[in-house]
This record gives sequence, C-alpha cells and structure tokens, in this order.
Amino acid sequence: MGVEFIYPEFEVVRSENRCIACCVCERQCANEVHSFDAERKLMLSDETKCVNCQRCVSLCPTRALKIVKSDCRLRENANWQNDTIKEIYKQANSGGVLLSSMGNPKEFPVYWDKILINASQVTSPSIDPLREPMETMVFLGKKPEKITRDGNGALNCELAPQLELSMPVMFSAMSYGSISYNAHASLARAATELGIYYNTGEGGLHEDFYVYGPNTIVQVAPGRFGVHKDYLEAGAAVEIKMGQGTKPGIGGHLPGAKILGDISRTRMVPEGSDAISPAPHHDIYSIEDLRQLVFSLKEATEYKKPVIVKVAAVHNIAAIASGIARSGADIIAIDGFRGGTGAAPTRIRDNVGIPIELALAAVDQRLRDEGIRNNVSLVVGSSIRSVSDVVKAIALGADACYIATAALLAMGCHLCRTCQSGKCNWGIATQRPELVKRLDPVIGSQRLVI
Amino acid sequence: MLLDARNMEYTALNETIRNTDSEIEIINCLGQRFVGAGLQNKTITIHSIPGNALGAYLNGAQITVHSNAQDAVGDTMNAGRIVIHGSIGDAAGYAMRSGEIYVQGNAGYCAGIHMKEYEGKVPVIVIGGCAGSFLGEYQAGGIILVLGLNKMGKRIVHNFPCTGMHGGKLILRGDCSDVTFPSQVSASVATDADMKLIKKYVEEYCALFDANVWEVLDSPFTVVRPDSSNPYKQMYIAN
Amino acid sequence: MRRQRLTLEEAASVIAAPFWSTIQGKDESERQRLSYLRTVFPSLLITGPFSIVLGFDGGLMALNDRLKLCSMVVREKDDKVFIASEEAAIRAMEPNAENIWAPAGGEPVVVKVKDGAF
Repeated sequence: MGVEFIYPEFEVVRSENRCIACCVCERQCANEVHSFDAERKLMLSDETKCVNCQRCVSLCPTRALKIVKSDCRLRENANWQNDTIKEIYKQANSGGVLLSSMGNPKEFPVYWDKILINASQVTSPSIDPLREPMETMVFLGKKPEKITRDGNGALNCELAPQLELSMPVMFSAMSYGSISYNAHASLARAATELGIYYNTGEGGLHEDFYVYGPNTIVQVAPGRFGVHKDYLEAGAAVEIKMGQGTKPGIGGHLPGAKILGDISRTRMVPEGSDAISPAPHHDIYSIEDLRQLVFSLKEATEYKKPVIVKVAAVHNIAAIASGIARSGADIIAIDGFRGGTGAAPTRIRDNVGIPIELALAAVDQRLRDEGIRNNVSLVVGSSIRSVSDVVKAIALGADACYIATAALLAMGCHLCRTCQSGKCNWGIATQRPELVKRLDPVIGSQRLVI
Repeated sequence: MLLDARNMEYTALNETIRNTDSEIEIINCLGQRFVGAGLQNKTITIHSIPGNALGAYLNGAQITVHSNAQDAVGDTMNAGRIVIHGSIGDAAGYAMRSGEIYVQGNAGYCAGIHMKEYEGKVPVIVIGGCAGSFLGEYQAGGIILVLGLNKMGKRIVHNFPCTGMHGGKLILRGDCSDVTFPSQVSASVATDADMKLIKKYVEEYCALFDANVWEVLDSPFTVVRPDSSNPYKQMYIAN
Repeated sequence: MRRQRLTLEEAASVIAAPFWSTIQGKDESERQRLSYLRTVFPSLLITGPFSIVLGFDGGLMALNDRLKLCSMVVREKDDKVFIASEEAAIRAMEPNAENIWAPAGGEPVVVKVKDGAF
C-alpha cells in the first residue's frame, strides 16, 4: 500500500562501462541487493534492501559500484527531519519498537574534540618515543592504602591481584552471538599478541577460546549466560556487568536471527528466538547487594582475580562510582552514552546516558575528594576512536580505555548499523557460517595488532 | 700571552681572548662559560676548570685543557680541536659538524648526540674512559670512539646507546657483550678497514695523553652502524 | 615519605623509577621490590627533568631524574660532601676536593650527619 512505502535510504550507482557482470556483488551481498538478469545480460540492484555496508563496493574488481545517499527526500524541515518522519512510518507499519545497532549517531557534542592537549616544550622538554624509552605498561587493580613492612623493615610486596597491560587499551565486551566466532578469535589472538585483554561479553566463552584465558576478561551479566566455575577460572579477571553505556537501564538483546547452532548451545537458549537479558542482576537490589556479589565471585575464584564492575554513565555516576569503590571491586569500568551495541531500542540509545568525558572527570574528582581514588582503577569506554582520545581520557583520570567499535572497524566493519539483522557481509556481526568465514581470524588479528 | 682569569667574568675573559694574538694561556680559570665560543685561528691552553659550553660553535681554533671540563664541550662545533686532560660532563659534541674532541678520561651522559657529516667534514670524538647513557643518540654521521681504559668495574657505556642512530659509526673497544643496542643498529667486529681507521685515532690519543698504543690496540673492537639508511620510514603511513 | 613512611631510597625509586627493562635485569627480590613500588605509586613518577637536593633532619639526599636530563656532580673532602651542578662551583669552595663523580639518573645520593635519621 502506498501509505506504507518508505523510499530506500541508499541508491546503488553502477558505472555501465566498468561493470563486467562478473556477479561478485550478487554473491557477496547477504541482503540480496544485486541480481543478474540473464535475458538482458545486466546486473540489477534492488535498493530497498541495501544497508550501505559497502561490501560490494570493496569487492567489485572494476570499482564499478558506489553507494550514495538517495536524494529523494521529503521536504526539508529542521524540526521534523527526514529520519524522524521515517521512524514514525516504520512504527506505524509494524507496531514494533525501533531497534538499532551500534552507537548513538546523533549530533551531540563530542567533548574529546573540544579538548586540546598541552605539550612539553621549554620548561619541561619533550621525550621522543621513537628514540627514547617510553613506557606504556599499566597495572589495573586495587592498590593498598598503606604500605606495610615485615619484621626486618623490608617492604611487604603483596598486592591484590592486578591485570598487567602492555599499553592502556583493552578490547571491550562484545558477546559471542552479537559478533561471530571468527571475530572473537581475532580479538583473542590480538589481545594475546599485544599483551592486553579482550572481553567475552555476555554470551559466555566458547571452549575453543579457553586457551586464550590469560588474556580474557570473563563477563558476568544479568543473563548469566555460560557462567560456571570453569568459566570464572578461565579468565584473568571477572567483570560484573551492571549496565552498558548505550542503553543504561536496559539489558542485553540478541535477535533470534543470530541465535543459531553454537550460540544456542553456549547460551543455552532455543534457536531462533530472541534472547533478552534482564536489566538488573536480580540478586542485586542495592549497592550493598553489589558488595555481596563481588565477594561471592572473589570467593568462587579464591581471591586470585580482580573483579571489575561495569556501569553505564548516567547523571549521578559519581555517587555510584563511590559506592562501587567501597563495595570491594578492584576496577570500575564506565561506559558512556556513545557506546556501541549489537541491538538496542533506538530511543534509549539516542537519549539516555551522559558522555564519558563528563562521567570520567566527575568520577575521578569525586574519588579523589573522598580519598579513595587509589582503591580502584578506572577504565572508560564508549567511542574511544583514536589514540588522542586515549591520551585525553588518561589526562582526565582514567587508568585505561576500552575500545570496541574501533576494533570492529579494524576488522572490516563499515558501520552500516544493521548488526541486528545478522546479515553482516563482513563476517563480524553474523552467525551465518557462509558469512562468518569471510573474516579470517589470522588476518583479522593482524589488523588489530597493527 | 698568559692570562690570570681569577675572579674574571666570562664576558670579560672571552672578550680578552678574542682580542689577543694567536696564542693564549689561561690560569685560575674557574667555571667561566663559553670560553672559545665561535673561535678560529687561535690556540688556547687552560690550566684549571673552564665552565660549560667550552668551545661551543668552535670554528677552527685549538683548545687544550689540563684538568676536567664540564658540560656541553664542543657544542655544535664546526672545526678545530679540543683536548681534555681529564674527564668531561654531559652533552659533549652535541650536533658536531666537524673537528675533533679528545678526552683522556670519562664522558657523562648524552655525548655525541646528533653528530653529522657531509662531504669530507667528519666530526670525531675519542673518549679514553667510559661514557654514560645515551651515547651517540640520533647520530647521523661522524665517528665516536670509546676506549674504556681504566674502567674499574664500570661498563664501557651505560644504558640506551645509539637510540635513533641513522648515520656514522660508533666504535667501542672490547666485545661489548654486556651492552644492549637498539634494534635499528647492528654491532659487529671491526674489519681490517675499520682497524685502519681505529689505529689512526688511537695513535693520536696515545700521543696526546702518553698512553701505550700497542696495549690499547691489543683488544677486539666493536663497530656499530645503523641497519639501513632510513630505519624509521616504515613506521608511518601518509594521511 | 611522611604518609607512607617510605625510606629515602624507596622514594627515589618512585619519583625517578628505573625503566622496566632495567628492573627485569635485577635479581628476584630487587625486581619484586621495585615492581611493587612502581605498581602502587605509578602516578608519582616524575618524567621531566629535575635535579633536587632534599634536606632532612640529619642529612641530605641529592637526586636526578631517571634520564639524567639535568646536571649534578658530587665530591668529597675529609668529612664534607659537596653537591653542585658544576664542578667549578665545588672547586671554588674546596680546591682540593677529591673523588669527583656524577650520580646516574635516578640514583639517590644520601649523606647523613647523624646516624638514625631516616
């Protein structure tokens, strides 16, 4: 019906003199945009299915393709923008709640880009890292309040368990399910080679990856998928997921299209049906209960692993962080509102939470004011896009940064934001075997390492 | 001419030196800076401690010191010779372009940083004792020779030698098995051609400081060179 | 030093800490001690140049930054120790001072006049 029609967002532009009808685009597109018309001997494109992942553009041997934003637009309106109107049409057509992938794309201020870094010049000359020793090793974990000595006056060198990072960057949580086996393999290998850590996310740890355990952070999320004693023992640290920045207050969501085979088995949920995790841990209803969960995990792992508590950045994050620091956690991970996700309700993703830059500054200041800053290490994530963001984050008080979207981009993601469909042509956010095998973990991990 | 520099400000001392004839001998020098800066066509002999930046930008003059010298000896030197019958401080021969510095004893940190050479202008630093950390950093040309005589248990060079080296040669007396070099350089035993060069400078050192040439040469020598002419190129990608 | 009761040498190992590559080359107990200090107080490491003399009740400590970007020399004569940035300064006070040496970067020079202080 005419009233349901929404003009496609993208158009496929094919150069007639370059296209040789080799059909690579047809084979590569999991959304079935391209097809070969045998009668007219032409490649055709059905734009209604195109998501602008640029797989066909990248693989066309003659560079005959490009994807452009359609210029068939509704009348310009600064208040009722095209996207806003189309979103209402989508809801009216389906009755469903809008579901999006990846981080908030809207125009909110990016504070990283408003900060400039001071440079050492005259009063304290700079050190050139290409040629002079520059150390980037970081230890994350609880530091003692007071140093102690033994009977002979020698320092007592016992420390709470620490994570040793060769540089202040780690791969953030992306569940097995939201991303593919090969994507996890790439991250695990890269973390091991670099001397940092990657995070299992909510979806449990595949048994093939236990071998990368020393560089793995195992996550305990409200869904508690795959959480058992061996899982906890396998990792170098345990992360309690209280929330994630992109959707504070909402739990994980894995659409049914991605619950196939292994995923169904690892998570222990039926194939094809959406797996929705509760938002809160239903055994924690107060900050005091959090302390109980933290110590239950420490007991279960014999106090050998640091416990991380990951929270979404919200308006009262400073008070929350203070409570977490006092609950016995070793590391606090804060996720800002720009964080990515496999699937989140659009309205939550775009309107809830606060920027990580503000959250970090508030938390660092509050912990210092209360004299407990050294009790925990601070890790921040959500749209850490480049090394300059990392430096600014550390200057604001972070001990290390979590990166996720940047890692996916390194592996081939083109940020088309349709992960929730499970048809990722780059083999990253999909579980379909024919697509997953397009991501070679050897190459993927090399691209991450470099 | 004999000059007593006691209680003389360096501006006055250096002005006097500039205005004399070709030879001048200075006694009771104590810490005056910039002696011989930019000087050419003169011979200066100093009998006690000159201050920092001795012979900076030296342009052909000859300076001999019969005691220790301090920091920044021969800074950005262009030609000439400085001979120290003692030890020196830090940052000697920084950005040296040509000329020679001979030190009987030890050198401090950061000796020979960014020495350069071009078409026959080859700077040389010879250190009889040991050198501190960061020897020959950013070296782009020229020769640094360290003999390690009278080491008394110290290492011939301290930490982080040759970081950023991309030209020239660093020569150490000994097999240097206890020295860690960065990955952009390679250290190897001196060849016959190398030994000819080494002999020339060792002979000069021994003549200046009354040492035994055969004893000094009776040892393996290690020559350190950068691995390729542009060892840092592969780190960058155009954006 | 006041709050955590670190010794002078330990404090020097914090603000002018040796490089990790240097710590790896030390023996087991030194490695443990130095790693512990660097792990617990990482934000107190001063990476820029400094050359300081710290006075305390009963003595002095002289310390350079870990890269020794600033000058320092030490000489002795009988029961006196001289610390300065230039040798000429020491000679001006004591022309016959002996044993001139320059401490390495991060190596504290502790001189005590009374036993038992720190």
